[in-house]
Amino acid sequence: MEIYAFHLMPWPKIDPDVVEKYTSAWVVYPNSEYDPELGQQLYGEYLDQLVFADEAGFDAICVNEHHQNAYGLMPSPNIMAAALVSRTSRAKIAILGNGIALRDNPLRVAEEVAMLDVMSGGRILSGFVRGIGAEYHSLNMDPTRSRDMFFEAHDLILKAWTDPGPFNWDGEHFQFRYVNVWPRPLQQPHPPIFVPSQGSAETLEWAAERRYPLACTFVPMERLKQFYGKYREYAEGFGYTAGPEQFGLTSVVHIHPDGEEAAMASLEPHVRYFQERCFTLPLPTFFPPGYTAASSYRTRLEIAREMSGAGGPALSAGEPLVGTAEQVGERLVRNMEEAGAGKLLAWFQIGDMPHDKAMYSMEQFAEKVLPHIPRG
Amino acid sequence: MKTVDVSVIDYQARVHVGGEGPPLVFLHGEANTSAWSEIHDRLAEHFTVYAPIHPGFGGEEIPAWVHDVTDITFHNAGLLRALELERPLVVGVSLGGWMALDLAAHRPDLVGALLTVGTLGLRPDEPMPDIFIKQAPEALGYLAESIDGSVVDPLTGDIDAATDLWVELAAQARLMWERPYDKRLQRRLHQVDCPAVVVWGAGDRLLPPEHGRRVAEILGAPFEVVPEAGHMVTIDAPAAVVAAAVKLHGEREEI
Repeated sequence: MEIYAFHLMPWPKIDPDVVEKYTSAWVVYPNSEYDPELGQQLYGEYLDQLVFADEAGFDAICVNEHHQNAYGLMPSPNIMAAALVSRTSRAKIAILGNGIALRDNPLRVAEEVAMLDVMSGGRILSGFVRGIGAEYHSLNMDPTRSRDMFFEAHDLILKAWTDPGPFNWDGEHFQFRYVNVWPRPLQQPHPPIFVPSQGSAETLEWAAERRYPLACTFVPMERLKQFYGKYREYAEGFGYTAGPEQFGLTSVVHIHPDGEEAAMASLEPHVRYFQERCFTLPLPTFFPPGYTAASSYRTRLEIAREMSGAGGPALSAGEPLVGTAEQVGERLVRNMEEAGAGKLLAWFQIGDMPHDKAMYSMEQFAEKVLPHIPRG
Repeated sequence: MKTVDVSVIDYQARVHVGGEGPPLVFLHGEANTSAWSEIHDRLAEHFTVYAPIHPGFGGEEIPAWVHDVTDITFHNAGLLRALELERPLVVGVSLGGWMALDLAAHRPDLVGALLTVGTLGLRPDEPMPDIFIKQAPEALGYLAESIDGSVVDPLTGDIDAATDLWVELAAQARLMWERPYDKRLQRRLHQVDCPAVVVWGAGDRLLPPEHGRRVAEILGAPFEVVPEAGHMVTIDAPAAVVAAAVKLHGEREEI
């Protein structure tokens, strides 16, 4: 089993009245609400948390990409990864991921990730995402071209990393006379690819065909099993059996010495902050037209209806990982086995949780849980 | 009314045909308005109405060759030829108005008369409200005053109707996500060479009547504001659109 330290780097001062007025913490939530001085402090604390995870023996630390929002302050995941490269030495740096369909020029991604891979001594896990629907509003990109651009950008980046340059690329969306990326990545043939997904059938099939590990976030356990089941079916169709190492799931982890009830009470306000303020994503923002196939959209409407009944997105697949360190350890193994997942994206700092509180859980986890988990 | 298949190059277009009289080509607008409806029935009392479903609309996938409105324009030119229509009266609503303007600008020889209703296409002075980011019921409210949008609410409405609307919205997004206008259209509109009339709802919340007046001025066409109607006058006050079409046809006969 592999344990990743997940992070969104949220803005912790989202004003409920302002969110209500704009119905969203994304795209239109005014950036006059951002305070750069607090921002500097937050980047320091959030990076310290990930650096601690490296020192404590986590397998990977995660950064990701979201634009024009108060939900996550990492519009450029590669800048965050660069900051972590120089402060860490052991953990993989998982970029989950670069929104390759959002870049006018995918060669910029090929270059930047290759740079990071060389500088980090081959520690980069390269996630590729289409970006959630909100990014298409924020960057004024046509969502109906997103899937095709994602696939072509992926093919181009992979070829740029593996085929000798210069070569010509004459695609539907991208044309280059000279593809000749300097530097080339250190890991051969290229940094491992990882695919975070909302569970659309097209992406599951595409990832299964290439044996790319999958991570689904914010879906309830039953849906998660459905998506993983679909991936396994596709994998069988492509002639192999998908093992647990191909599945990741995200879970909030919160440890309290007095057990589950105390941990839940301590965590609850931050979860509520996340659900009611960070994750305020009206459906047209989350799923702009043409972003996915009609059948996937219909599934998404069903999930949205389930979620609005449940009061917000699922922060764990299965039981939340809360309680004493011992309780968390037991549940973690049980949850992972139930989902058939081999990678846990452990999420400690959520919503407006202050640094010290997140660090307490991380330290307890590192000291009392991590050593007992079957690794590898 | 019957629906016929018409072959244009490698694409099978579906065209609703109904009514009797001189030919009228009706270019539908956005938000699932491609089906035969009240406005079609009323026009069919005076004209033979040809109402094509635009490529990518009416529940089908967006063809790969559709990049912008002008691709639809050249498709429509082929469609008019395949239907053997001689300089028909072309009516276009909202996004369909943009298609009608673009057709009349690129192929003035194909269009006998032009009637636009709340047409898009020209760059507005003030940004148009972004209907893609609004919840479906609210977005529909921008299009017509008399639409009940609650049925397409994604969380509480009919899940199939909500999905259908979203699917068609994708075709609209392909044509107008990045810009809900064509900045080249203003100069091109000077090529239009037929009688025209520009119809606008007095209560249009998407584009104000002042914007329509600019379109009319460029075309040198009369500008008719319809009271108690929103953006899609075809839905809120169909009789006014039919009257304008009949009048325009009559004036054309006199010339």
